[in-house]
Amino acid sequence: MVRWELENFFGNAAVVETLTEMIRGQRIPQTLLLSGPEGVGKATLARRFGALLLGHPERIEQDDLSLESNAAIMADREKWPSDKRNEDPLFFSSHPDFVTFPPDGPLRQLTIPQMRLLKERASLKPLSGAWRVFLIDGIDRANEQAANSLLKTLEEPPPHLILIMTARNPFDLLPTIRSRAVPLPLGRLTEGDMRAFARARALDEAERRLRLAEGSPGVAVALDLEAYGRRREAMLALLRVASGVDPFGAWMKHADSIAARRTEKLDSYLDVLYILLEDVLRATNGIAPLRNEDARTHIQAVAERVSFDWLRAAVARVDELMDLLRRNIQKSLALDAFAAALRAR
Amino acid sequence: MEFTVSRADLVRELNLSQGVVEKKTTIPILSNVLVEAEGDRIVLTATDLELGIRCSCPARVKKAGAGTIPAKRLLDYVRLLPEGDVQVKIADNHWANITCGRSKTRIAGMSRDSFPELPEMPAVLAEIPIGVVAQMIGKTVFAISNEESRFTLSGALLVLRKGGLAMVATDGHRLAMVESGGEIAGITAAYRALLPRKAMMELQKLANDADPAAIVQFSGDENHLFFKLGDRLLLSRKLTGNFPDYERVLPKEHGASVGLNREDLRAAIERVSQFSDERSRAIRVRVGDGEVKVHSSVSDTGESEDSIPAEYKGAPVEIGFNAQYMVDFLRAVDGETITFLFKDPHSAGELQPTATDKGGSYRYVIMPMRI
Repeated sequence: MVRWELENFFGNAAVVETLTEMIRGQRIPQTLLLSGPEGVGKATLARRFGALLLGHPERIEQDDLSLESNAAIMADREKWPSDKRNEDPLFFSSHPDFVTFPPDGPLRQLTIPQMRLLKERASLKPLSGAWRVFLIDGIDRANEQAANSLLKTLEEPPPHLILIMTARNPFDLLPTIRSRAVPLPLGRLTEGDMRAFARARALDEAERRLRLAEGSPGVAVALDLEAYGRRREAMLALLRVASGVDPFGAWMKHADSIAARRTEKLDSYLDVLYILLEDVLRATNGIAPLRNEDARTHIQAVAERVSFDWLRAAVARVDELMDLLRRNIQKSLALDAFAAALRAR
Repeated sequence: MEFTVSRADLVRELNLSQGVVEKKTTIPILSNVLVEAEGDRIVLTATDLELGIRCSCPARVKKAGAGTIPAKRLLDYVRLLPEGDVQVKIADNHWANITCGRSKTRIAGMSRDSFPELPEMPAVLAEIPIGVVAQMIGKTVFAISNEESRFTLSGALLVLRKGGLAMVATDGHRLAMVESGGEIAGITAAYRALLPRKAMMELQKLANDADPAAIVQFSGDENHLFFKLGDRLLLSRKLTGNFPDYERVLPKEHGASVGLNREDLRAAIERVSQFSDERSRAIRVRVGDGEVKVHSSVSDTGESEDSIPAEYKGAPVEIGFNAQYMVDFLRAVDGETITFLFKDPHSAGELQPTATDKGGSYRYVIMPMRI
């Protein structure tokens, strides 16, 4: 039975084996920390693991945050005033004993009311069987107070509770959180695993998706190629302007259309910008293929104009913007400043 | 599924489920009530995964089956219908058609498949009059802790033992324990469980709607507690953890005691506590010759003192207490007089009703404050 559930999980065989072994030996740590890049399957693995303990995988799978219905609930809540969100903390629980706490609100953070709810629910016994599994999807999205309020529960969970946390980088977490959980680091998938995954899911435009996803099946599936194309066009224009290939005016029309898309977040552009900068670095060093192989001519044009120092400064600038995201900076102004600063170099 | 039911019955039973139906939006199925029609009854079930309530009422069932309907929307609508029969029909696409006289409505429901399966009630452990249960809850529920981190204290301990029933609640600063008087039917073995506060509140609601002598069948399994009152079943998940050893907290003996008029004491404390520190709510209780004095002062706002006549001859003693804790008890207890038992400023004090009915007991222990 154990094999069956985890069979369809691609990559990270060592972690899968560890979890399987825990269930087989009935020696299950009560707090687990699954860490790794976006889309490698941290939450998926947590759900499969939960399903092995609790049964009814079909119910637990309904709480997959990437499902359209769940994404819609979360997007809708962004528009709520924060009071309303605090009164009605976000969690999913299609299976009565599997509860998922996702980051909430426009800034996608785990809030104190959510943690309070978690603690309140934690003390109640399972509906059936011996276990309840709580998944905190993105503990790195909890601010310090929210994270601190969890410490006691992490240290002494009620006897029926298994608490699984996920984080992209475990070293972003408070050491007190990290030290209270059994760490299970997940890595990016090998090319072979990714191809097997793409075949199993029958992905369209698989080659392009795999190049962009970089070993992350979740990203490969979720990638909206059309939106990606649009964002890439804008970000390429930004890089051409920032590197001095085009005059500043060439950027203006993109800036306007980005500003007009109010619901689109700056991170979605910055993620593309990172990939493009990586490709510029590949192009300057003659590494093939590029992740955006189909945009080679544009990338090559930028690559010919820039030095390694310029690239390093550009990446540092994007990092800075990423940090500022949580302060709700203005999208087009931030990108204008990016281009202007780099042109000056 | 198709059935006809009287509007009054439907409104009454739906009302009971409202406290349990999840108002939150993230799990839509939980805002729905499960309606099952079979034989000559319909059964309504609601749950928020913590508590569940199942009630039923007579109906003329034309076609048996089950479906779920948004509970609040259904109640809000049915309440506005005129007195009479309501016809409900749930189609295969989960839409519910509701017809009453010349009114017709369609409400979007959901498949029953995603509605959580609730456990079945196991063998009955005790049969208790609902009035007794409600009274015991009323006398303990206020002492439950509000601190979410002390999860074993966020409910009351229910103890079944031969011939009796006890309920204990504490927040670590005070403890309320009540034992039922009289024989409780059906108890054959000792049983202990932690009952969450929310379940206690719902039980009180059930009691409000019932004859106090009506019998609640109580039962429990590994993870749940069940209370069945007639056709209504309330079930709750148990709280986990070890409740403190309350018997060790209860003082074996006090040095002294004094009888006081309950109303006088309550009024005095309420007045005086206006001048106590807002956080600590500390007041001083001084038992002296022939009177009990209640005093509090906050140096920069003012001070207040009240005195109640009492028959007391011993050495004077002054003890600090949290005024709110005392008032909580004085509001919950019945009877004209209460007894205040104490030893010294460093020992717990105790309040009890002076006269207890039919062998029951009610004890309330408060830790003293250093002032």
